[in-house]
Amino acid sequence: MHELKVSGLRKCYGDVPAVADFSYTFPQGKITTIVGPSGSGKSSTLLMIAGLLRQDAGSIELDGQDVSALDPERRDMGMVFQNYALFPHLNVRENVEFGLRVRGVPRQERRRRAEEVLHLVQIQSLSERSVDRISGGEQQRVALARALAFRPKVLLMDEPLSALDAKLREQLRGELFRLLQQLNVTTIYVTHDQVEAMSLGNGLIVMNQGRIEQSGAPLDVYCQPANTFVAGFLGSANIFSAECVEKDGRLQIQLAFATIDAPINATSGACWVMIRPEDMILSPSDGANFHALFESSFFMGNQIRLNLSVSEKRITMDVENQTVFDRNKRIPIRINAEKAVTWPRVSGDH
Amino acid sequence: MVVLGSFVNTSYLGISSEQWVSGSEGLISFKWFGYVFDLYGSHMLFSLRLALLSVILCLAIGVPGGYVLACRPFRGSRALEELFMLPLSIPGIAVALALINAYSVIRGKWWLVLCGHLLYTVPFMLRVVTNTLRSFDIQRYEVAARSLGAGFFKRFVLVILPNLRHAMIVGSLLVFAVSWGEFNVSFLLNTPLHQTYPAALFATYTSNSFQVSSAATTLFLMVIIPVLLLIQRLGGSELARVEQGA
Repeated sequence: MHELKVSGLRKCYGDVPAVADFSYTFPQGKITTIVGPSGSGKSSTLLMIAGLLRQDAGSIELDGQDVSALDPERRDMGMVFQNYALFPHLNVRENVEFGLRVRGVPRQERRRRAEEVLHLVQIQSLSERSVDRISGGEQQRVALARALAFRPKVLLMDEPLSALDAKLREQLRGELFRLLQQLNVTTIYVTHDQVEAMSLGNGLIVMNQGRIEQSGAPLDVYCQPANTFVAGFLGSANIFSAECVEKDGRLQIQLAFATIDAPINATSGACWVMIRPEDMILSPSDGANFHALFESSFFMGNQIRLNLSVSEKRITMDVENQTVFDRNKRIPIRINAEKAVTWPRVSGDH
Repeated sequence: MVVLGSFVNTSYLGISSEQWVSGSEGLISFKWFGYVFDLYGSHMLFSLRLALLSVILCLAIGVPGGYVLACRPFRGSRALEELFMLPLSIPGIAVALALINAYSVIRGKWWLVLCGHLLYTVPFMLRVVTNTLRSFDIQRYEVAARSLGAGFFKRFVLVILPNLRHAMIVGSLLVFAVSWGEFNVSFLLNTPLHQTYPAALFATYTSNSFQVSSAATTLFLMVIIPVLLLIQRLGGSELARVEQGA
């Protein structure tokens, strides 16, 4: 297992920093996902780690050795590309053998290890097939097998599932997770898909405008987002301005339309408060924190997302898929205050 | 190609009339082939040698050169590419006279003819190679090969060359055909010892009988037509782009 430590990584295009001061230690044998909107610098970060993009500043250390000046071919990092980039002149097995071939591994050994990896990704039956005669999902597996076959120190994946349709993506995500957990390869997985990022990663890095907004275990980042960007980017979030007052060892969060009582874990004074849609709960009238006006709903299969309004604020919440509402009906809602997250609000900040 | 086409047509007429003549006189047409071999065999060999050397040298110049122009563009690389294409738009006589003037000291050396041929054939190979490299994203395969540990030399041998195989075959056939049929430069840079076959054909037309000329032309066509058919079969798209480029 190998540890990758990145410090102060920086890349500018003209005056615009694509990546500004990226520092992170990727834990050995774990999957770390980097997620962010397009242009957040996540792909540039990955390319710099791979050596395919030259950093302006910063260092990349692999097992304590600085590799930031090495050519990509000398870094021993396997990479799965978004477009797979399988060699069209080689068949499946020859593609997988490529990394071993350039390392001078003898033919027999090469073949044995290729078969082994192909077995691991469950496509050993395709080994003599031409790469343009297999499906997208199979190509993805070949790309993964090719990157793993030479036993890289670090596995880098650049949106490897984004070219596949939703159903296949979900299936492969599950397989990929099991495989990577089993292999114990230090993996960096870049994606713009928050669900992929949260479900695949042992650790999660949220990037925006070239910076790390937050990093940590997916559950922690989701439940305790560091700021409004992270809250809005991972899942959906209702964010309101509020006044927080300490009272009897609890925190009173005073919203424009309700007051809720939360455990004391945040600053008092002017603040932002975030409540996830799943923490807005339909309730009997007498237990409700407030009533909101029903505006519209989206059927999403397993549940229905409601758009509501209260005091000119928009609210989203999720309810069971059987529930039916009339337009302009007032709906009683209870807030799961234990899960509310607050951030101090600077004056003039809206 | 239009010029070549009309050339092929008129010559075809020549062959049929020859067969008609020989038919009326009995089966004697092979006699003229033997005669042509005796008379121009050395010219044929010289032309074949020139064509094969042109192919080898064009591969050696055109493949790495095309790679640099298409994948590693530098300041002025486009201009350089156009410069390579330039001989195709200059009349052969002008090129030949320019060569004679520039190299008056070494005039008479057989390889001066080869240089003339290269001026006309390198652009074809270069164009086929650059077109192929630009038509599909070779860079992404190179990047993938790098990530798998392949340095430049291994990338070139294991990734770039195999993907250029088809272009190299089509380019070689084109170069062979152009070199085999090239007349202007060959004719003007000829030495008595080293005459190309097309130059010999010219001599035949001016001084020999119709039957001898026809037999000589038929031999010329017997070499070029299979090559042209192969080009037609293998190089549909590449060829179209070469014509456009040239």
